[in-house]
Formats: sequence, structure tokens, C-alpha cells
Amino acid sequence: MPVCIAGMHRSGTSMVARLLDLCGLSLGDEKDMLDGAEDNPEGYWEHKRFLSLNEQILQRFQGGWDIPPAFPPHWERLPELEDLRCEARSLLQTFPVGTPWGWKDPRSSLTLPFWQSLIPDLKVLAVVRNPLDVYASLRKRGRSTQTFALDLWLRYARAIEAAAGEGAFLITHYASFFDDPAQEIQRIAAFCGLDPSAEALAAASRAVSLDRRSTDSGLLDLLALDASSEVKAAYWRWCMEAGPVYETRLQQEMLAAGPAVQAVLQEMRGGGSEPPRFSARDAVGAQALETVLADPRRGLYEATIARQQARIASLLLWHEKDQAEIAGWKQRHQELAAHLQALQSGKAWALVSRLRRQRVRLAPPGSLRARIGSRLLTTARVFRREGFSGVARATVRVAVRRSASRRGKPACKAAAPPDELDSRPVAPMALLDHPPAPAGRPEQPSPPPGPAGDPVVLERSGRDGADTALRERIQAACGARPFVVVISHTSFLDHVGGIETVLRQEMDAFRQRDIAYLHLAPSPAPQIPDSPSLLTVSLDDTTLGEVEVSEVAAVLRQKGQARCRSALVHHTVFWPPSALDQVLEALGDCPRFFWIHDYYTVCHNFNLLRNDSTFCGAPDLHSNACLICRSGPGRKPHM
Amino acid sequence: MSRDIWAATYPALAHKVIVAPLYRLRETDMLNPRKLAPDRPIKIAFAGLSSIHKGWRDWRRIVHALQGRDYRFYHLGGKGPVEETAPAPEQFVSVSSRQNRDAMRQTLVDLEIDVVVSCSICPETFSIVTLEAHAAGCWIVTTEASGNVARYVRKNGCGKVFADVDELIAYLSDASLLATDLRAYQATRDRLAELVYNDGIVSQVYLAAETAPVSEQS
Repeated sequence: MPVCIAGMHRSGTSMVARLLDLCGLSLGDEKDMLDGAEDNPEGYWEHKRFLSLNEQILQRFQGGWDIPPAFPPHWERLPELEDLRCEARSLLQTFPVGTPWGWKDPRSSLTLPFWQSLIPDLKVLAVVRNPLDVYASLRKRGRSTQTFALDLWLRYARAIEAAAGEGAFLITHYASFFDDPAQEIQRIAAFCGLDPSAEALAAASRAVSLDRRSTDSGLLDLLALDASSEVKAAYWRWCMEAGPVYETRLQQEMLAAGPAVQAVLQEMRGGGSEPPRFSARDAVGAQALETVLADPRRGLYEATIARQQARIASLLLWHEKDQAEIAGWKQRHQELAAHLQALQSGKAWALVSRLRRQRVRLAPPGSLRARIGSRLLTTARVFRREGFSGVARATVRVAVRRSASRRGKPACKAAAPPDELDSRPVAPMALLDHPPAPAGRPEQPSPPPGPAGDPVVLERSGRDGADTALRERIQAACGARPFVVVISHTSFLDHVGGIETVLRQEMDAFRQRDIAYLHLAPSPAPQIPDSPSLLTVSLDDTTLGEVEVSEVAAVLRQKGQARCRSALVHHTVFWPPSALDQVLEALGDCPRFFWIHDYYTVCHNFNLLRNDSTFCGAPDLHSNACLICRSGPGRKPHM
Repeated sequence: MSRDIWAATYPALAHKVIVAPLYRLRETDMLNPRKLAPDRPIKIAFAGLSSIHKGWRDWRRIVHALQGRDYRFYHLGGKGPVEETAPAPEQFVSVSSRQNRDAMRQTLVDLEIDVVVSCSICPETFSIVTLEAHAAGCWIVTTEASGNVARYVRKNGCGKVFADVDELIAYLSDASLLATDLRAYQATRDRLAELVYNDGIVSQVYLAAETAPVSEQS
């Protein structure tokens, strides 16, 4: 009967395969075996054709060794796999009949049903190793978080358990080979139908790689960990079935641990774990429990548990109290909102509002009164349209954008410390509704952007296009000399960061050639729903103001196609796609350059960190890998 | 590496990708002030924003692992969103290029930082602080995961690249080995350098373009 050596990766399956080979198990021709590597210098003992078939199976279901696919029911008999079945049958025929043979590939743990459908009498030898040691080994091999490693371990364990009931099955623990190699090798050899000679057994015992066993965590190390109770329960089940050598070790560990075993057992029972599916040996647990009950420190532990339970009850009370307080504040908020609405519907409020607007309009552009006033007016307008929630949303949008900048998103790759950001001279909301200069009033030139702290007066074309002066300035600038249009995510004159630094130096290089640098960035002001997108426009080192994207596109359409030398797209985050399309379409056929400063064009999570912890390597758009990432659901729409 | 990742997602555009260095280093007349005396502690810094993808957690691991050794730790740059639950184990020096583009390089020189740790956990397309550290005569230690940072360090011999942070910590744990490497490196860096924008991007790429290629920087 053939044997499949299965188990999670980095669990010692290669070592077990090598030991069985020394005992006489045929694993195939040497030329068919995978070469060793740095992390497995003594070879993987994997047959290339089994490996290839397993990988093909996993790929057919959009998975891989590290992303176990979600197989549909009875997947192993699907007609789509017929080609793989044919290939597998031809592979199985290459092994001799009548002599024990087998193969090792951890991927087989996931594809066992496929092989069992082809080999009804297949034996499964599962190698188990402490998930903590598996994690340590995976981490050494590359980057792996503990959560990822433990979750993967559990998936492999479940897959093997699910398939185990179908035939002969034996669990061996990696640690057993270091405790009593001869006994454990004899046990697994017998399971494989081997009867090794004393010499072969001695050679196999000597071959156990003592030096490669870098970590040796105990069961209690895992149980003490703040990790999934399912992993703990599954490992517990496997340990109980891992044979007499491991049983001895387990017994010693439990006896040495004393009262901790009680907590362990409680966790096993309370953690939702099913009773061992295999023929569980309860002797160890029962004996350990008796030891615990007799332990004089038991009282101390019980008192600690009681204290913690009292603390939990107290916290729950506080929680209820907080909930009641929140409900009270909500009620108060509703009362105040109603009161405010009554006030605003009065004539006095309308008169005062009108006066306030006039004062703001008459104030010199850029003055404190103009800026604060326009901010208040904006807030009032948003409130009238959308109520408190609208104001809150607008405020949150500003906060989120600033926060994104500070988090090191592309908005500000190397942003200044918070105190510098907070001292930005112009409040974004103030820009939104800065009123046009009254008729007959001379246009005040925008002062050049000075060093940090100097006010930069931004202008904005009115919603009705009243500020034609600004549009004319852009028009004049585009018509006067050749220019390049540069698109990025922030106003590079006002922000600091890696990309902004590059843009400043790029601007200098163009200015030396007398080519104007027309820069467009999305306005940092909160966008009102259904209103046109606003762009912050700067020409060389002067910020011109904020203009609706349609107006920018109109100017570029008129002037751009003749004088625009290039369009340089540095970053598109915060850019509404329609606004970007409008600008690029307006530029006609001029050369376009698209910079890849980060991976924003591959995923909206621009640094490709799966759940902000591990580099994902940009898997295929339809990969299951995206299903386990917080950014996964948004990736397809983003692309 | 960054190009490969991008090209795998957009294979139809892969042939249009151009890799263009953003900056080159130009040697200045300024002498390297560092003289690693036996009684002077080695100064190790994290340069840039304290964000997770820049390897801030690994940096903290390194600092905690090396506590008690004769090192001084600095953080030059800005504070990111990573929450601090305990007093910072390194000295923070706020550096911003808002007023002075050369601020980081000058600060690295002024503080006589010996080693800059650059351990981004995602492959960087480019890293200005790495170039600034190189220009300032610092020894850069990084990991393979940092992408083009590791490539730059290897290419220019201005530091060491490690498989992972554990290896990096093991290296930094041996103060005498580090001091030997530093002395050997500083002996080759009599003069400091400065960053110069690669003007060829404008002259040879932007303005010479007949078509619209897709470009990537390194």
C-alpha cells in the first residue's frame, strides 16, 4: 500500500521522508526528486511530478501552498480535473507493484481527496510539529506573521483531519524523532509496511538532524499564547494521537507544569474544541488533572480567577453606564438641533446672516476676516444643505486627508511633524467658498508662496465662473510660453515629502529651459457631493488658486494642444477618475508620462502590505489572497 | 523588483517601462567629520517618517534588542501615526525639508550619524533618505525586503544587506565587527557628497519623447 507523507510545511516532512527512504521506502528515482536548498540542505525528498500535480490542482482552484483554496464539495471528481487524473495515473504506474512506496509533499495535505480517489488504499502519515516552531521556521524562510502561520497550520490540519477518516492514518510528532528516534522510526516504518534491518534503523536514527532543530516549543507554550483557540484545540488533538514517544514527553511536560494544566484543560473544553476525533488517549489528561487537583497552589489560582471575574463584572457595569450616558447625550443633541433650527428659521437670523456675508465679501482677500468668514459661511452652507451630519462628514474628510498625509500615504511620504502640518497657513474649508472680488475692485495679485508660516492666498473661481481673472491668468500663462502639465496628489509647494521634493527639482529643471510648470492637484477642501471637482493650480513656484476641473480642461483644450510639451502624471491618489480623464483628454496627443512612485496603480493599498503587516507581492487580481486582506474588496473597483 | 511587480500586473505595458534614477551623488569639498574614536559611542539612526511600512516596528525591535550596548539611537524626521505607549528609546530630532531641501543630509552630518537603518517592509521604488544617508557618509544597513534600497546599497557598497531583521540585529549586536566595518568604510569617504537631480530625465526622457513611455524610478 502506498504512503502519502503529509503535514504542514516546515513540520519535518522532509526529514521523515528521508528516514523512511533509509528504511527502504521507495520514493521514486533520484533524478525525479527536487534539489535541496538553503532551507532544506539535505533535500526536500519531493517527487517533482507529484509536486507539479499538486500545484496544478491548487492553481485550478485559485490557490497555492500558502493560500489553501476553498474546494467545492466532491471537487476531486470534477470532470475538469480529468487531464490531471490521467497524468496522475501514469505517474502512479511508474512505481513498482508489491514493494512499499510513497511520496512526500506537504501540499498533498490539501489535495488528499484527489489522491484517495485514485488510490483507495492510500495510507496517510501525517507529521505534526508545534505551530509555534512552524511559525519560527516560516519566518526564518521569509516573512510571515504569527497569525498567518498559525492560520495556515490550522487549515492544513483541518484538511488532513477531514481526509483522515477515509483510510489508514497515523500521526507522528517531529519532536519524537529527537527524543527516541529508534522507537519512533520503527513505529512509522511498521505503518508503512517496512521491516528495516537493525543497520538501516541505526542509520536512520543517526540521520535525525539534531543540529537543524532550532526551536522546540512545548504544548503549553502554544496554549499560553494569545492565539486562536481552534489552533490550540487542533494541536491538542494531534498531540494526543502522536504515539507513545510523544506521549511520554507530553506527560512530563504536564507534570512539570503543575496547576497550569488545569487552565489548559479548561481551555480545551471551553474553547469549543470537539473531543478528539481519533481514538483519544485520556490517560495523560486524567492523570494530569488529578495532579492538579492535589496541588496546594490550586487555591491561589482559583482566587486569581475569581478576582478577574469580578473585574470583568465591574467593567461590564461601567460599560452599561457609558451606554446610558451616550443615550443621554444623543437626546441632548437632538434637543439642541431642534432649538437651532427654530432659531435659524427666524427673521433675525436671516438678517444677521446677510450682514455677515456682506462683511466677508467686503473684507480684503486673504485677510483674516475673509478667511475665517468664508470658512464660517461654508460651514453654514453645508449645514443648510446636509445638516449636522454633512458638517461632520466635511470635517472628517479634512481630518482623514490630513491624517492620511501624516500616516505617510502618498499625500505626504515624509511629512513634516504634526505641529508643522497644523500650522498650514490656509484652512482648507476657507478655500471653498472664497467670494469673488466685488466689481470695480482692483484685482490684488497673489503673493508668492513664501516660506512656511507666510500666508499663501489662494483664489478660487466662483461656482458660477465669476472669477474670470484667475482663469485668464492660467490662460495667459499657457499661451505665453511652452509648458508641461504635471499631475500629482498634493500641492507640492505646500507639502513636504519624497514626491513633492522630486517635483520641486523637476520644476527647477524645466524653468531653466524656460518651460512653464503647470501643476494640478486635487483641492484639499472637502468636496460637496454632486459639485464639480476643484483643482489647486500652480504655475512654476506660484500657487494661482482653485479652479473647477472643467475650466482647467477648457483652457488646456484651447491653448494646451499647441504649447503643451508633455503631461507628467506623478500620482493619482485623491483624483476623481473623471477629473483626470477631462484633463488628459484636453491635452490631445502630447507625450504622456506615468510615474510609478509606489504601487498605487496595482492596489489602492499603495505599499502592498496585506492587512498592514506583510508584503503581499501583488497577487493576481482574482487571487484568493485578496480575500484575506482588508484592502482586497476595494482592489478590483480601484483597478 | 518594483518594475517586475508592476509589469506582472500590466504585462501589455511592461515593454514601455523605463527605470530612471532620480538623483545622482556629486562629491563636495566638505570633509567627512566622522572619526570613530574608541570612546565615542556608535550613532545609529532611523531616518524618515515613523510609519509601519518604513519598518518602524523593526526599528524598535532593533533598538530594544541592542539596549545596554554602547550605541546612541536617533530618529531623524517626522512622527507618523504609530502610537507610542512608552517613552521613546531613541532621541527624536525633527527634520523637515519644507524650508531646506538638504535638511536631512545636513542633520546626518551635523549629528555625525554613523549608521542609518533602512528596513522598509515593502519594496521601495526609491528612497531619498537612503541617498541622503549615502551622501552624508553614513553606513546603511537594510534588509532584502526593502527592494531598491537593498539594490542601491549593494550596488554602491555603502552598507550591508541582510536577509531579515534577525540577521541585522545579530550583525549590530557585535559592536566590534560594526566598528571595524565603519572604520573601513569611513576611510573610503574622505569627502561628503550632495544629491543632484538627474537632469537627464527632463532632457533625455521628457523632451526627447516621440511616444509616451511608462516610466519607473529607482
